[in-house]
Amino acid sequence: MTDAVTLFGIRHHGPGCARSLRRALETLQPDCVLIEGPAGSEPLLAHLADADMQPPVALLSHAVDDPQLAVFHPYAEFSPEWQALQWATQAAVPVQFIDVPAGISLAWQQQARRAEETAADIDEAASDEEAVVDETTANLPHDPLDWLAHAAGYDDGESWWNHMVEERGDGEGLFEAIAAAMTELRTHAPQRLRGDEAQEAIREAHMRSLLRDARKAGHARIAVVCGAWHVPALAASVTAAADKAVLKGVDKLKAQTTWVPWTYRHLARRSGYAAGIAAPGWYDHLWRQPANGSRAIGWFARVARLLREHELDCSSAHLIEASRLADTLAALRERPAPGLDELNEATRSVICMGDDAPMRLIAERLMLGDALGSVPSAVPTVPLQRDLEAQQKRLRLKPEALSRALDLDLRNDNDRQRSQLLHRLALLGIEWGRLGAVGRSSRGTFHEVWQLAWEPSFAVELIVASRYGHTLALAATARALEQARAANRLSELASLIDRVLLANLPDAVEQVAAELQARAATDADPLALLGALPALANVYRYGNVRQTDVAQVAQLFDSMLLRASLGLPLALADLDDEPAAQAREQILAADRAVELRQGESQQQAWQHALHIVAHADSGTPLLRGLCSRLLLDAAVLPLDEVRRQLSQQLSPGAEPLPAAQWLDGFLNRNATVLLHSDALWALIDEWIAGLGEEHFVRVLPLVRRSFAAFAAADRRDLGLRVQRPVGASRAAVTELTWDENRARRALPMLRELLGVADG
Amino acid sequence: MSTAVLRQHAEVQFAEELDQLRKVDTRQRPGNWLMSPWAVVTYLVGGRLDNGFEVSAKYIGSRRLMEIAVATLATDRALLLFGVPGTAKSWVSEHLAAAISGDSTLLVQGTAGTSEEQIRYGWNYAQLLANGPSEAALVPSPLMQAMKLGKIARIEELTRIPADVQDALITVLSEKTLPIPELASEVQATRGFSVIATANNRDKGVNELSSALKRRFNTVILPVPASEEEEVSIVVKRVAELGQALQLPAEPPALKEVTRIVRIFRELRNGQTEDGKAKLKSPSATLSTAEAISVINNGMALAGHFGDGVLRPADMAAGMIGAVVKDPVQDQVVWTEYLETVVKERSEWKDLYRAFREQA
Repeated sequence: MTDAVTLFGIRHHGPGCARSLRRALETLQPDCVLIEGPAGSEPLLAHLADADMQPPVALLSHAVDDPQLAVFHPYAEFSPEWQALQWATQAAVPVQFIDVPAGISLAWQQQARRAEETAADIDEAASDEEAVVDETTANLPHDPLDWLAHAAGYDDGESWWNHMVEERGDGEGLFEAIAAAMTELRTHAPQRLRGDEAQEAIREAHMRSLLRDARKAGHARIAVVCGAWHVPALAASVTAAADKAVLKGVDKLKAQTTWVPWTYRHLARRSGYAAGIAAPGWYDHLWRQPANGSRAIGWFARVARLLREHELDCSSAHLIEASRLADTLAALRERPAPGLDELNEATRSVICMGDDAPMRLIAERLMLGDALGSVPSAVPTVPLQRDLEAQQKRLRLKPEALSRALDLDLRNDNDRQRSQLLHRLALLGIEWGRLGAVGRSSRGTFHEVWQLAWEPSFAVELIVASRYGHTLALAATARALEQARAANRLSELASLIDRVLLANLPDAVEQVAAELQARAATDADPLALLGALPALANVYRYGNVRQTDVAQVAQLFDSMLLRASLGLPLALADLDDEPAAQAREQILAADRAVELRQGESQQQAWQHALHIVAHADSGTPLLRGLCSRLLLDAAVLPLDEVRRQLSQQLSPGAEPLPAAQWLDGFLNRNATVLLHSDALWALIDEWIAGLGEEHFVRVLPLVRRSFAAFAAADRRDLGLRVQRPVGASRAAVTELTWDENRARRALPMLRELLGVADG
Repeated sequence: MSTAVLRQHAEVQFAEELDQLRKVDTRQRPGNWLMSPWAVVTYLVGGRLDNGFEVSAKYIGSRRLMEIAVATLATDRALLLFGVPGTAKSWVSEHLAAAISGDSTLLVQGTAGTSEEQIRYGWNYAQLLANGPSEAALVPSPLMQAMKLGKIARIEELTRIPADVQDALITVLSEKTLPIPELASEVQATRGFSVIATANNRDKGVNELSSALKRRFNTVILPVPASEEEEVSIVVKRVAELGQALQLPAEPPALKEVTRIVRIFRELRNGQTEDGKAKLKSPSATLSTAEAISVINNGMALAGHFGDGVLRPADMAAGMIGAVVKDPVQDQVVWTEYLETVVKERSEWKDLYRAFREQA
């Protein structure tokens, strides 16, 4: 190796590395920068100078023929690669990516997928997920840093590396030290058993040959930025012929690469990105706050601000004590300065009083962070958009700005898929189609009527949505899950289930249902549970029209109904007017839902709960009346029993106001029971007639309101009914007297109109 | 020490371990500490010393928690050990004091009747009447002693102490002095002084700490046993010990029965089934390991005196419901829900389900 080449072994997304690298590049002033990234993507680097290019962003490469195959190279501001790119752009130094072209990585991914499918084609969804995994995963299947860390007495590679590299301030000799460590590691590390050894060899041969080309091109000072693991391989002297032999005949797919906005969430290891880091937010903090005494304090200050925003107490004195504890912990563990572990433990112990809930907030908002990058509008399209275009073509749905109606017959395969496509887009927040009111209400039918109108802004929304996945199905699933986690109310979750079923996303259905189940178990409010029932019942009842699997929904419905039924009597005790009125709507909706479910045991559980409410002394009168009425309508409560209750509730001893409320609930805006039961009619009549003037005036508005809710026809019938004396038969009133002669005169005309013969 | 003592103090019982640790301990010690923080942590969680001596584990659980506790005391902050009953709070506090100060006896037991004199100082009234207020008439509290000697003072059940009495601690913890206005003097804490308080985080409501006092403590929450196996083995061991002491006529319960009880306790306590598939509501009851032990003891007594000597589901149903349903309204809903959605579904738990239904 000649002096022309300087190798910088880095860790992807390491702020300490990034800082040292930046400093080293300033000193070295290379005339060519080689970076471990997909070769052939250099044209995209032109966008780096654009002000709209804000990290975190990712280079996304996908196979042209199969957008499900995709690899990402994400960069945050604290990624050494990003800093090298920035430096080179500013210094106008040529940059060359030296890793294998994306097409080769995609071909490997395809092979892996095929191998998986032949091994077990059971879990299709799982393999889809794995396709998302970054290409750099092939890098370090078992983190070799772990071996070094264990030798140094640390728990895991990440905290060791953090202490040794990222959280330190000095940069001198860093890269020599890393290179030395990695050389040692590669000589002694156990033979790796994973099948990607051949791929590693190809990648390193590719990097070496491009390095050779750069040297041939006459560059005098070449800087190479690559994963630390590869440094020894690049430094090794291998002949050009040997590398050529390795690279010969390697499969390659046609690939397309573009920039997409990225998030810190997707940089985190727990998002499934294997070269990910545990706490991007912490690295961001390390990058912004250079190593000195104020770093821990700066972190605590951010913690304090976050907690105060959420109305949790946190004073400056807390921060002082927390940083003292963090320092002492670091000393006890024989570390030069507190790391993230120490800071978190100090925060929990001093500021949060040992409580976990604020710590979760900190993990979510600070350690992970919610940064979202942006890319200039000039960059080429993303695979999600390609997927949409492909589906539009297949289903013959052209995007048109002009609004037009589309009537879909769901029995027809093509139309059903169109409906699913529109529902999926709606889940992603792209309202290309709006479902007409007719379609909504006539869910039981085979028709959906959509209003389609394509807007140019949808293209941008597609790019934004592309971070959820690179096909519509994947993206809509991921988005639905995010909504499920963010949902506040059970009813929101229930209607979300409805939407994902309509969009035919089985994975999402399963997981949203699981989320709903988990929330239902811990939600203390039975009324909230009731609120979720109608949507579920709809799904259950009409799901079959769309050939969706509803067994899980039925089970969910049953368990939620059971829970709600158990808690209902308690929840309905002594409600004020307004909550009682809300509860009435929920009970009515739930009652209809239970009817739709058409299950014997569900019906029984529900009616049992209604029975308890109807007979509870402490219950709210309105709701007790309502429950009695529902039971009467379901023919569970015998008429005699109802009569007894009515007379008890309306007896002279009862307070008039609760009695009127009870009656309101019992009548339930429906006069049929009054019209057809003389006994009940008589009881109510008696009650009203028996009220004293003062009481009458008090209950009058209530009773009037109850009666005003009846349909006009019912009210008229009631009026007629009042004219009859109590106990008189209906026939007596309907008997008519008429003049036969006058009636006859109309007959000829009628015959003519009806076209019947004389007779 | 006489052998007739029922229970030795930690510093006596583990004198040899403390000695050995001090011998090998070359690390820096905070003022007035008998050993370095590292050695204290080793004493608590156990380990093998360089000279081959084996230190037994006093606390079985996370080493990091013990490190936080020890680091807190090293920064001269007070330490508050929080946890449900039976999570070894007092045990840890005693051993910390024994290791750091060599003395675990400077103890204030917090009760509803704890007065300010027990925290600050009292008077020898004969002396007071005869000679007026003087140093000689003063009866120092354990806390005052600890301040003078630079040792660790322990306060048990801090939240049971009335709020106005708790406030007496604030000056001690922030100013590190204890004024004696009657003598126009004060006691100033010497290096090494600190306070370890324990409190039950389930009955916060008794006398919740004021935020002023809270702020002067670093809190470490001691968790319940992490796994079902660990908890079952603790319960089996304690039940056997207690059964012997109480001379219960029933034979010790089969592991199967213990496992079921522990599982019910764990599931209700954790708010989810052991397989993690379904979430549950938690009752207001503590449901500590200690209560599981007492449910089994209770059941054994019933089986021995009134049954056939073998612990049957019916014997423990009453005790179990009593342990779970502390609030007759809310907890009853939680319990019924658990019964109907979890117990009923487990085919091998049919007998248990029937026994619970009959009790209800």
